[in-house]
Amino acid sequence: MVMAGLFALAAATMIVALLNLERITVALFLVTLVLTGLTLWHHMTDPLAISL
Amino acid sequence: METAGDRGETIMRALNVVALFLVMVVLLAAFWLQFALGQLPCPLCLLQRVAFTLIAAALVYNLKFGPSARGYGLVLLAAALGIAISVRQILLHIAPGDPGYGSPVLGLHDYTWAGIVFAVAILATGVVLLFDRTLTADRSPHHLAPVAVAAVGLALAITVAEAASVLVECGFAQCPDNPVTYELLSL
Repeated sequence: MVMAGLFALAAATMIVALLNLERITVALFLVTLVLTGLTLWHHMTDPLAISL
Repeated sequence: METAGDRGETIMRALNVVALFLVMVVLLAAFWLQFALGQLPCPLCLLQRVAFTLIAAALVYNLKFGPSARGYGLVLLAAALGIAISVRQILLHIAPGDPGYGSPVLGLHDYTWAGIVFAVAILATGVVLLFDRTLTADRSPHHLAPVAVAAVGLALAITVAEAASVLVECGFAQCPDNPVTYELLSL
């Protein structure tokens, strides 16, 4: 669900850029970037994540 | 009359379009591994795909608002995150005898190839920033040329397809570490 949400946010970033909303584009991009980083962090620290 | 600056910006825009198509080639190759070879992406694989879509989003930004230091900065941030995810996955399988995740392509696993592509993206962006003399603070929206429209449309379509694919693969729960089936189709 979270992963799908990250892709949805990336798509929203592109759509907002096409709507000529420059600052919102940058903001959405950074939000997606941070959430992706947090998801990576969660995966790295999840005690149930044994291996891939 | 077209000035040298106009020609320079045209060249830079063309490079951004080429880069956007190249990112789409990477994501389409990932889809090929998934659907043609049945190799479902793991959570770290999915995060690397997200990083690629963020690079694509940054390139769409450059195309829409004109190539800028800000746009290239967004590319660098996405590529830096992507390479961190790739290195994480490489290190998880670096022990001797570890078969790695998925089948190797031309001798390297796809997360290793992803790490190489992210590194190339960082280096290429650095080279562009060194030589691009057309960077401007003007952030007014630009009209997209037809080939740019095609590139952006493809990027958007693939990103939406990725979201749908992940939803079918993982359902509404956390994505499994070793996916073997599409969860939503198993309900």
